[in-house]
Amino acid sequence: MSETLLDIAMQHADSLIINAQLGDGKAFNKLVSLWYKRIYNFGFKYFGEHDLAMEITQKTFISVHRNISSLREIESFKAWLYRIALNHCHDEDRRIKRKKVIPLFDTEGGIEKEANNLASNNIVDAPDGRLHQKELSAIVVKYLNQLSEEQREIVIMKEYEGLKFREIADILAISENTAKSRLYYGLKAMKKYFVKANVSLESYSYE
Amino acid sequence: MFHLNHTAMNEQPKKEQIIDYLLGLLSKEDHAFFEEYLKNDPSLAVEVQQLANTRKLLSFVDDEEVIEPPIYRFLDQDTYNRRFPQVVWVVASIAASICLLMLVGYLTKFNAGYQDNRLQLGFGQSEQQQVTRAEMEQLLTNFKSNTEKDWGMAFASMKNEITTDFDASLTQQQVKIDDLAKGGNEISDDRVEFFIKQMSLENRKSINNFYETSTKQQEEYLRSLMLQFYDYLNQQREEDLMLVEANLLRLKSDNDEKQELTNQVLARIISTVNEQTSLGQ
Repeated sequence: MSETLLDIAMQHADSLIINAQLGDGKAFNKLVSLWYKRIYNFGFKYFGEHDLAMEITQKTFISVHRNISSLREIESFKAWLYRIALNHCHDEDRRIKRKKVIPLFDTEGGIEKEANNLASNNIVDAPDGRLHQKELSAIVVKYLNQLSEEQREIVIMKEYEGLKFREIADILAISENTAKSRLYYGLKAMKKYFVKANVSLESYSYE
Repeated sequence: MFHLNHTAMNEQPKKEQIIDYLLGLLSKEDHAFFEEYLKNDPSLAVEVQQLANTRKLLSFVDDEEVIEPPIYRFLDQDTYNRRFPQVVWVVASIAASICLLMLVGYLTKFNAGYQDNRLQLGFGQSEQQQVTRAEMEQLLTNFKSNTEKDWGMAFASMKNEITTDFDASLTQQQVKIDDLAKGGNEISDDRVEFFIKQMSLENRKSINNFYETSTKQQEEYLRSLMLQFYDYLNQQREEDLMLVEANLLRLKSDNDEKQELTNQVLARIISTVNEQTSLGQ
């Protein structure tokens, strides 16, 4: 990922963090401006839904506002922010799962079977047989939702949020090796879905 | 970053090493070594290529655009959410109490007014305020007819006394006239004149007595009438005040009961909201 001016600005937001810790409302607002879209997209890829993503984002920044004064190391702000966002994602995930109806008869491998069915559908149905960016985005988000929680969060944090393995390990309280291992399996699972759905680089149309 | 074991060429690279290679985290030396290994392991090479393609496909997904909420709204939302419940519940309870009082006032037809430099409160329609002039006249007529029954005997007694006085006076005068007539020619003009004067005086005295008695009786009658009417009005006023007091006490009791119930409901709602808020965090 090439660095944008925004990325550079975010990297040098130390003064904003310090001022926000001291109660400077404007500084905090600027921090929100810098990170809002990132956290929203993190939530969106995690759940694949706009409303849930908005809710997660709102809750994340409310938590940040309440607890920013307790942040000890300014350098770890990014990891700290994503940890808060991830915790809210987990909470929301648990709440959603509690609402789901438990089937009377347990179908073994039901979820995996459903994922395989989903992946096996040939999604490339454009007239020219090529996928477009929006279609690919929708497919990716859908498949990300099929990954296990561990694999999903690693893939999102590494492939989309640009977090270092050290930061990911810190957020998830795991070793860097474990983080890399989970990414490996996550990428393998996504490859499997793409193959079954006949989605490939060749079928993608550059626009 | 992993350092590949260059001596252990037979060992398949670990998953973490594959990831390091894909993400370009290997050192220059390790990278070259890994690529050399891939040349000798076609299946691994295919797998690594597929993973690379997968990453490429993932990278084509752009960020979703999102409209950031107004900053001032966001920043105040936290404080607002914490203060909002208390402010809302206080305002809501005040508004609910006012609505409740208005409803009770409407149902009990509560009315208040300022008359004759006095604040007047009442429930329902006041008979006293609604009595018309015609009704008042009828009321007085009824009073009069009622009191006349009591005074009828007194009037009859007074009439008998007056009649008795007159009869006695006439009898005396008749005796004198008879005496005068028996005297025949020997009665002088002076004597006749004296007799007439005496008769006149006695008649006047009788009439005066009659008028005085009559006036006194009438005054007594009117006085009694007014006093009884006054007592009636007082009695009505006391009954109205007792009614007002009873209604006020009942209203107070109902209001206290409803306030207690409202407080219980609000307390339950507040504790539920706080519980949900803390769970959401």
